[in-house]
Amino acid sequence: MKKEDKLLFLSELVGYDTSSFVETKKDEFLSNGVMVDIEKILHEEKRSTAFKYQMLLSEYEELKKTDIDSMEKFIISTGKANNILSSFKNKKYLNPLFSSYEGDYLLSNITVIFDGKEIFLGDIVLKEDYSDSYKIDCVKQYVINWYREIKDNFIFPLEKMVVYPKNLPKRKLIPNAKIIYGIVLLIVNATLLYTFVSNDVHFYNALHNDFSDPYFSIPYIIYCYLVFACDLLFIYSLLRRYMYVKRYLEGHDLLFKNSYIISKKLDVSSARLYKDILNCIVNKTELTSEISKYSKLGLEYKAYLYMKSIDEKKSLRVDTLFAYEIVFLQLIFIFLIYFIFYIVLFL
Amino acid sequence: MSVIIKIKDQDYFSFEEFAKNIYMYPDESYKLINSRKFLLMLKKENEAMYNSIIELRKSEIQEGAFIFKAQYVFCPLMELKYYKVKYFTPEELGKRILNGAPRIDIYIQELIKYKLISYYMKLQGLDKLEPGFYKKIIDLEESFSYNEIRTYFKMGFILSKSKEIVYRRRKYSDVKAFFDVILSPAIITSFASDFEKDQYLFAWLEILGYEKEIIKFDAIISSVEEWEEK
Repeated sequence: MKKEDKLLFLSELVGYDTSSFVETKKDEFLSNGVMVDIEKILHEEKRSTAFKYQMLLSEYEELKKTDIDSMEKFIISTGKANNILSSFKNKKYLNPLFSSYEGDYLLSNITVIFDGKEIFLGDIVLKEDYSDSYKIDCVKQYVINWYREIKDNFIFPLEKMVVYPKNLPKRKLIPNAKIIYGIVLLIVNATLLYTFVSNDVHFYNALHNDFSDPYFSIPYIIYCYLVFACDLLFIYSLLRRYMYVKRYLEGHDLLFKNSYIISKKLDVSSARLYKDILNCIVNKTELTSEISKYSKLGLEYKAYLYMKSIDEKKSLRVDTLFAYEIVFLQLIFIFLIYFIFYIVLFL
Repeated sequence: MSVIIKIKDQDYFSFEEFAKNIYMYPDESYKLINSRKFLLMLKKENEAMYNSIIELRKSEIQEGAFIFKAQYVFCPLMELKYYKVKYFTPEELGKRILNGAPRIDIYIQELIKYKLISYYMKLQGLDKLEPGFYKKIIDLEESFSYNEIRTYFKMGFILSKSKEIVYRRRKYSDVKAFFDVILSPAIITSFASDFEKDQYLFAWLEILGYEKEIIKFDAIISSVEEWEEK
């Protein structure tokens, strides 16, 4: 923080008009090194799913929107930006029980507060001027906090969703309507195939670009393309549905059938984490484990986030193309009716 | 009473005369007063003074404070004197503090630190004459350990009963006029570089009644600096 800024802030507090100085601070805030560095980190590094990371991100987004209209806001916002940058840089948001992209991060490099100072977890273990019981108490509190963070932000909301899934729709991989549609389309394709192989001169002429009977040939060609387009649309919508509904059903099964197991997994990981750190403190050995040894809920959390988005949207719209399919089928039927009438009346 | 007190090459023939010059020879006086020979003579000549000095020896540890109080045992009605400097009034002491700002006089700082100004005022009966003023001095002395430099300059303002800050030989009583000067492009950088260390400006603003604002400033700056250190 520049000393001039402090002096300006003091003058503002005692009632001096600093508006002319504040004008330059607005641009300075957004273009200063700290904000630029934060943007760089966010662009260059993979976004973590850690809960504190999301909080930091929200804080940063709020900070960007801050209207710097006083020296006080400038100073506080600059301080907050520094805090956010430090948190991102040193990965202070990491919870070793829950990290999706930072699996190879060493447990010993996690930043904690020990005796009022920031320190790496690995350094606590090796500190000689503190008793083991003091170190154990500090570490225990951190493990409890990490455990609670996951309980509050994942396990409890998941259990609530499982007990009361009010907005989660029931879905089949291929619903009855789609099966019926498929059968109808199959019949339409079968009749079209028949017209290709039949000896009827009208179909033959139309297929060989003989438009001597244009009232039959042209509609027939359009009809062929329509069926072909309908087939493609059907196949595409089927694949799309399969992709989304499969994901939904897999997520649904993973969470709803295994919510108790997920909670148990967390209990086991926390106990293992605490035990490993405790052993290192007592035996005065280095912490060498990676976070991936304790962080076992990444897949489940991704599924939960997906289910949560469905729950919040209150629908799983996967057959957005079905309306178009119906339109195409209706057009096909219109053409079929036309051909029937034409054949009956004129042929 | 036949008393001869020798300090360096000076002879004093009464305790009163000796007391009036203790401030000129503080180290030598301290050794003399605590010597067995002097104490025996004092006990023989004036038991009341002797008892007071013995009480002082038991309570006072710091040498300067002992000598300051001892001089008033021998001569209660005297100007404020400490370490070779005499102040005819507390107001004069205050002016001396402000005239030297932002530099600190370490001996005046000792007067505040060991609560000797309020001691002197009580001795002279000023605690009864100006109780409100006396209370301000007591409060300031109590707050010395929280911020020594700021308290030092606040003492200067209160003792001299002044609400003007002096900067580059000009006096300012108005906040706006003062900041108009120090925030000018030519001066802001040089003033800003030392203003926190000096505490002189903070002392003045507190005297003007901006205590809450200073507390807010201290709180916000320390939080922000804590974030920056991480």
